[in-house]
Order: sequence, then C-alpha cells, then structure tokens
Amino acid sequence: MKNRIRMSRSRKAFLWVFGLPTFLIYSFVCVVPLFSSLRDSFTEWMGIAGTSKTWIGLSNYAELFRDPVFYTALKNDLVISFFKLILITSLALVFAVSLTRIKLTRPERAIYRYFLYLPTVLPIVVITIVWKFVFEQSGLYNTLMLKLDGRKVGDVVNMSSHIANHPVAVITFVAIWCGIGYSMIVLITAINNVSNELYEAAYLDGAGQLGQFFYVTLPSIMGQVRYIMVYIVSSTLASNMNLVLPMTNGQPGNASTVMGLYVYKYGLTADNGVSRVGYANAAAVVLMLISFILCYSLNRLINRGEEKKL
Amino acid sequence: MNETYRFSGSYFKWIVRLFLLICLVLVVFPILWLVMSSFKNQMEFLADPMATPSVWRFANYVTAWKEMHLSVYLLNSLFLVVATAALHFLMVSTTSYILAKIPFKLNKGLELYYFFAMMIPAVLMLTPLYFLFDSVGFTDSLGALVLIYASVSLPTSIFLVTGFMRNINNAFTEAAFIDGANEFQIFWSVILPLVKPVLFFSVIGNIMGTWNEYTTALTFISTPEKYPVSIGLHFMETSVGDKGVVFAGLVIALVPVLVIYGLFQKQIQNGVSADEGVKG
Repeated sequence: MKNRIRMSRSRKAFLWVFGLPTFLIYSFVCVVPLFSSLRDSFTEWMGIAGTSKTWIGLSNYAELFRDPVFYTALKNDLVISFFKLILITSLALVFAVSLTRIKLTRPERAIYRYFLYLPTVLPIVVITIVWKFVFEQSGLYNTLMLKLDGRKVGDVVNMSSHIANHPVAVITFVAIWCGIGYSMIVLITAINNVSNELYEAAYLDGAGQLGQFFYVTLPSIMGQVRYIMVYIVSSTLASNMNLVLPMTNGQPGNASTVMGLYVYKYGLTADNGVSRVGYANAAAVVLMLISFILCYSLNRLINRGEEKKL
Repeated sequence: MNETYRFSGSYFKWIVRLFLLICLVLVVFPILWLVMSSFKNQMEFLADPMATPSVWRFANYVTAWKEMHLSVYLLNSLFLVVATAALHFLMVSTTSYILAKIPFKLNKGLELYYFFAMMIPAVLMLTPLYFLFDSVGFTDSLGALVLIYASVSLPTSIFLVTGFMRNINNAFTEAAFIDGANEFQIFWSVILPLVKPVLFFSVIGNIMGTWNEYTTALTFISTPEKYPVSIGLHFMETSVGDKGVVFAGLVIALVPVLVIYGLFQKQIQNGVSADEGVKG
C-alpha cells in the first residue's frame, strides 16, 4: 500500500518531463495574456512597439459603459448565446436519442450521423460565404420562396435582404447549423455508455419508452448535458466573432456587432481611426467577467435543478 | 446488442424519421448548391441562383487553383493541422493523466489552474496575445499559430479527458504497477488505450478548429505565402469578382475536409463504444 502513495522515480520524471512544458506553454498562451490584458486595460496605447503606455486609470472602462455600441454588442452576444443554448442542447438531445434509442436501420443511423455532424467540420469561411449568398436579396432563400409562390425570379428586387434586415437572426441560425454536431456526438457517446441493465431494470419495473428516457437515459448523461450547456455559452462568447466577422462584419452600421468583434476592431484594426489597445483590453476584461459570471451561474443553476430532483 | 429495449413504435418512429430527413436536407442542400454554383459564370450566378449552369465550367477550378494559389494555402494548412494535432495530443494526454492518476501536493491547484482558462473567451485574448508574441518577435510565423492552436482548447480537452481517466478503476494501474511497469508504461499501455475514443475526439476537435480558424491567422500572418487556406479564401471572396470562381475555390478547399472527415468519421464510429469495458 505504501508503494502507491510514495512517488516512484519514474512518476517524478513523468511529472517533470510531460507536466512542465505543457504548463509553461499553457501559461504563456492562455494565462499571461490575461494579466497583461488586465494591466493594459488601465492604459492608453496605440500598439506600436517602443512607444510607452500611458496610465489613465479607469477612463477606458468609463468610456466603454458610455458607448451605445458596446451595449448593442453585449445584447447580440446574449441573444445569440441564449438561442444557441436552448436550441442546440435540445436538438442535440433529440438527434442523439433518435440515433441511439430509436430502432432505425443501421445505414439510416450511419447516414444521419455522418451528415448531421458534417457542418461542424466545414471551414467556417466556407459556411459564412455560402450562407451569405443564401440570405442575400437575390440569394437562394428569396429565389426559393418566389418559386414556391409561383412568381417570377425577377420579382426578387421587391424582396428584402435577410442578411441586412435581420442579421442577428441569420447569424444565430448559421451558428446553430454548424454548432450541433459536437454536442450531438458527445451525447451519443454518453448514451452508448449507459449500461443496458439499467434499461432492462426500468423495463421490468414497467417503465415505457418515455419513462426509460426520463429515469435512465437523462439522469445517466446529465454530466455530459451540463458540459455541453456550459460549453455552448462559453464558446459562443469566445468565438462568436469568427462567424460575425466574415458574415456581416457587424453591419449594417453596428447592428450585428458582438463583443469579440468590438474588441478586435479596437485592438487589432484601425477601423475606428487608430488601434486602441488599452480600450480594447478594457472591453475584453468586461466580457471575460460576463462570461465567467454567466458560466458559473449556469453551472449552479443546473446543479440546483439536479439536487431538487434527488 | 441494446436492441431489445429500443423504441420501435412505428407511429412515433416515422415522425422522428421525417424530422431527421428535414434536418438532413438543411445540411446537404447548401453544399450541393455550392457545388452546382461553382460551375457557373457571374451572369448565370446572378440571373437565377437555382438554375443549373448552361455549361459545366471546369475552367473555374483551374482559375481558382492557379490564380488564387490555393495549392500553397492548402499545404500551409496541412502543416498547421499535423503539427498542432501532435502537440495537442501530447499535452492533453499527459496532463490529463497527471491530473487524474498522479496524486501530488499541487494536483488540485494545477487542475483549477487548467480549468481556469476555460471560462476565458479565447478570442478576447487575441489582442494581448498578439502584442505578447510581438514583444518576443514571434509573429508572422506558422510556428506561433501551432503553439496557440494547440493550447487554446487545452482546458476543455483536459476537462473531458481527465473525467474519463478518473472513471478508470485504479485496480488497472495498480496491477500494472505491481507487475513492475514504470509510469510511462502505465500511461501508454494501460490508460491510453482505455481513453482512446475520447482522446481521439478531442484531437479531432482540435484538427477541425485549426482548419477552420482564421481570425488568429489573419492577425498573426501577414506574408501571403504563409496564408493558411481559411485566410486565402477570406481574401479571395473580397478580391475576385466572378462568384463562380470563388465558389470553385470554396469547393477545392472543401475536398480535403471531406476526405479527412470521411477517414476520421469511420474511426470515431468504431471508437466511441470501445470504452464500455472501463465502466463495469
């Protein structure tokens, strides 16, 4: 027994040889920038190497909270996160249950699993360019609607561009379209790992299909459901802009901008006159806090829901 | 083998089938449309998005390949994907093993340290990250992208893999230890095979992320010869007037993705149920 607790020499070596480099790389890429971001958020700096940073205290934050564009960005982020959370979680659950617990033929399962996951692996630039041309004024969607309506294709001039008129809805749709696959596979894996004996026992206890879902499947995969829910919110806040930048670039005006894009434009482009690194960092810090609070309370919320059930 | 207790009521099953079919069409239709449009010229593209092209213009592909240097971009992306996946695999597997199976004083603290960044929106780190790399002169390099791509998804991957490793009964590792295996042997031949499916999944996620990523690449890479394919497409869309050629470029960029996906998909499907022996 003592052998197990004492560190063997090979164990120590493993710890240093494999643990340390990862620790250092992770620190350099993921942790150090956080603190430099925090520090820079109190300064004014145009991002030119060699020039000095001017300490300006909380001015950046004060300016941020006075900027209406910031609130538009925040609102868009929250709206997109909310609909993604609800729709991806429920659709992924429906897909996963359909492809595991419903008696479909084998090829059917394989085909659905192949194609429903497919959007996840498509390059995001391809996705955004294609969907942009779908929701344009003379795009595929309007043309399809005209044809279903029995009207001429030329009538498209009288129709509105969806990408210009409801950019946030289009972005949300595309985000869900390419966001389901990951969650679906996580849940399929989880459901496949549920012991068959549990279903057997539930069946013998007289549980129907619905009962088996609520008393066996769902409780067994609750950990993974919680994981994907937190993952959806945090990844949306983190990478929303990867979709928004090629899709609308925040336009029209700033109607479809999101926090990530706001930070990006101030920090790394000269779209707003000059690059303002300090100001961008202040916005980044605020979004980090919002993301943290959101994920933490979401986790708490689900945990509490689970405890109640027990 | 689970067939007996699966749902087989026919009425409900057909509703499910119909729903799945609609979703399938939503996925496949835009892709088929993309392929069809890639053979059109600009006129046809604008006239009627749903009409088939009058002539199948394979020349669009030649133009995209030659004038857009897509071959160069594809090679750059290939390098990025392979190097990033290897580094990511190494970091995730070993660190998860350390967190899950090696008890030492700072274990809990280290775990929190790794999960800490999970809550931090990665893209928001881009500004400080860029100026940090800039201060050590490590920008406009694919190597910098490899370091970043392999690390940004570390917290989520470690979170997932560590969880699975914890589920492995310690009797497995103890038996190997008593048999005289050293730590690396236990890690490599006892633990790794048991978590292969989930580990593979995290590496695949990383590969797709690397292939898709372009905001970081756009920020870090300024030399056109070093563009990965995502950046190449990004500039192509804005600079090329003929949308048929743009779509041909998109299709070319899609082909390796579909091939890689085809290969990985098979391994995912074989792999996911392989860890059933662990739980019992």
